[in-house]
Amino acid sequence: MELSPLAIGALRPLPVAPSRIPAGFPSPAEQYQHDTLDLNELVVRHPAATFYAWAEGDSMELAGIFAGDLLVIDKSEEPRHGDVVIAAINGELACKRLNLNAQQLESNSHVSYKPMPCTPDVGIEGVVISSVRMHR
Amino acid sequence: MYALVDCETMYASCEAVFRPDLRGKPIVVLSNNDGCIVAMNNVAKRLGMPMFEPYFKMKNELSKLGVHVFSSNYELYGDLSSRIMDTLSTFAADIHVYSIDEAFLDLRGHAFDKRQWSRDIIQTIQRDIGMPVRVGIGKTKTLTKVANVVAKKVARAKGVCCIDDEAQREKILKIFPLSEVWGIGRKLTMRLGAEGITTAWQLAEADKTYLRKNFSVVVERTALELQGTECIPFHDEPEDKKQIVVSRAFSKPITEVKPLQALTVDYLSKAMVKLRKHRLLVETLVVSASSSRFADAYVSHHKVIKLAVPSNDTLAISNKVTEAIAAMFKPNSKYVRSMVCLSELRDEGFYQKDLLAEEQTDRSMKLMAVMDEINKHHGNQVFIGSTGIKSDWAMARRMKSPNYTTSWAELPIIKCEGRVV
Repeated sequence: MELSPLAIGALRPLPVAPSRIPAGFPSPAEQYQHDTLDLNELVVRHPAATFYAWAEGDSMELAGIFAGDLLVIDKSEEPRHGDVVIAAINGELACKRLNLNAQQLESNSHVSYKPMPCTPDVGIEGVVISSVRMHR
Repeated sequence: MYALVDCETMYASCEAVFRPDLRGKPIVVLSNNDGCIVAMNNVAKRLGMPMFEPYFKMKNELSKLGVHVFSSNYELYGDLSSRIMDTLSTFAADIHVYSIDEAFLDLRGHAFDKRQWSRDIIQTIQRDIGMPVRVGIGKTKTLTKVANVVAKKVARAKGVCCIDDEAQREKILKIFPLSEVWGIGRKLTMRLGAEGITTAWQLAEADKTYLRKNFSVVVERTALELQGTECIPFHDEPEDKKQIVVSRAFSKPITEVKPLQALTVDYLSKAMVKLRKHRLLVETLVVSASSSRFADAYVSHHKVIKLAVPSNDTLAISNKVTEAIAAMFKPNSKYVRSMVCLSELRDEGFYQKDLLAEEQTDRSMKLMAVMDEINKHHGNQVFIGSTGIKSDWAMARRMKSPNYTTSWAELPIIKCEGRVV
C-alpha cells in the first residue's frame, strides 16, 4: 500500500525542524527529516486571489458542504460546468452548483430548491476549489 | 515605458468587495475616530458629498440620501492592497508601490501590445480581487500620471490611456490642465498661470533655464518629464506620506528564515526612520515576502499587523515583524524580495490621546529620538531595547465593516439556501 504525503502528514505528528547541535555529530535521522506540510500548498492555488468564507444552510449538502464549513474561494479560476461557485444573487453571496448546459445555478441537496437562471445580473464571484470541515 | 496602475476610489471600493448589495450604491468612508469623510465612491461624488467634511455635520444628510457610511477598515484595505500589488507584480519585471492604491510598473524592454496588456490588468484585478483599476502608460512617471488621469476621467478611454507617440502626447498635454500635473500644487499653478502657463503642454515647452531660475528645479524636472525626458528614477520616494513602503530585492535568493527576518527588520527600521522624520505614528503595517514570479514554485505571502496603539517604536514592532516572517516562512522557497508597508499612519501631533488607554511611553519616544540621532551621525543601525505597548487601545470605529480577510471570526458568511420547490 502506498501512502500519499497527506496521509502520512495526517497520521503522524508533524516533523519538527532539524535539531541544532552546536558541535559533534549531527543526528543521523536529520537527513530523513522533511519539511512540515503546509495545508495551504494543497488548498490554495492563487494566494492573492483566494478568499475564505463560512458556509451557512443546507442547500449544498450533497456537494459535501455543510453549515459551518470553511469555503476556499479562488476568484482567479474560470468557472466551469459543474463547479461549485459563489454567486451574487440579489445582492447576496450564495453558494451554488454551476450548470452551464442549463444556464442555471443549482442547489445540491436532499431538499429540492429552485434553480436560479444565470441572468446577466447574477455574477459569478469565484470558484469554491475546496472546503474544510471541523469535526470537533 | 512605465505604467501607473491605480485603484478607483480604493477605500470605498474595498467596502463593496464582499457586499454585492452595495455595488452601484453611494459609499463614504470616515477618518479615524469617525471624524470626517475621507473617501467616497463615484456614486457618492455624483450626489455631491463633500470630501473632508466633519461627519457629525453630514450625518443627517447622509442618511437621508441613503449613503452607506463606513469607519475606515485599514486591515481590509491593507490586505486587499497587498493582494493587488502581488498580482500587479506578475505583470512586469519590476514594481514600485507608490501608495496603498497605486503602483508604477516598469515596462522597459517589454515588446507587447500595451493596450491589450492594460486591459488584461484591469480584467485580472477586477476578477481576482474585485477592485476596479485604471492604467496610464508613458515614457516618464510624470507622463504615466497624466495618462492615468485621462484613463480615469475620459469615459471612452475605458480605464486605459497610453501616451506612446509624439502626436498623442501633444494632443493630450495641450488640453491637460496644469493643476492636474503631478507635483504642481495650487500655489505653483497660480504662479505659473500668472506667467501665462496654464496647460501641461505650455509647461513642457517652456524654457527650462527660465523655469529653474524663476521657479525651482522641481518645476524644471516636471517640464522635462512632460517632454519625455526621464528625471524621476523608477524607485523613488513617495511624496505624500499616506503610507511608507520599503521594498527591496535581495542580492541573492534567501532560503532560510533568519536572514529573511533580519533583512525585513532592516527594511522596517528604514521605514520607521522615515516615519519618525515625518513625525508620524504607525498603527497598521503589512509585511510581505515573495519568491521570483518567474520561478516554478512561486510563493508570496503577506501579513497585516495591527498595533494596539499607534507607535513609532522600532523595537516593539520589529518583534512583530520577526514573528510574522516566522509564521509565513515556507522552507525550500527561494525568497527574492520582502516588503514592509506602514499603511495606517497618524500624525504624532494631531494624534488624539485617549485618556483611558495606555499609549507608547515618553521613554520609548525619547529612546527612538536618541536612536535616530546616533544613526544619523554614525551611519548605522542601532537598536535599543524598549517596549512601551501594553494594553489595547480602542478607537471609535463604530461603523467599521468586518475584517473579511484577516480574521477567522469575521469571514463573510455564504448562504447555502434557496426557495423550496
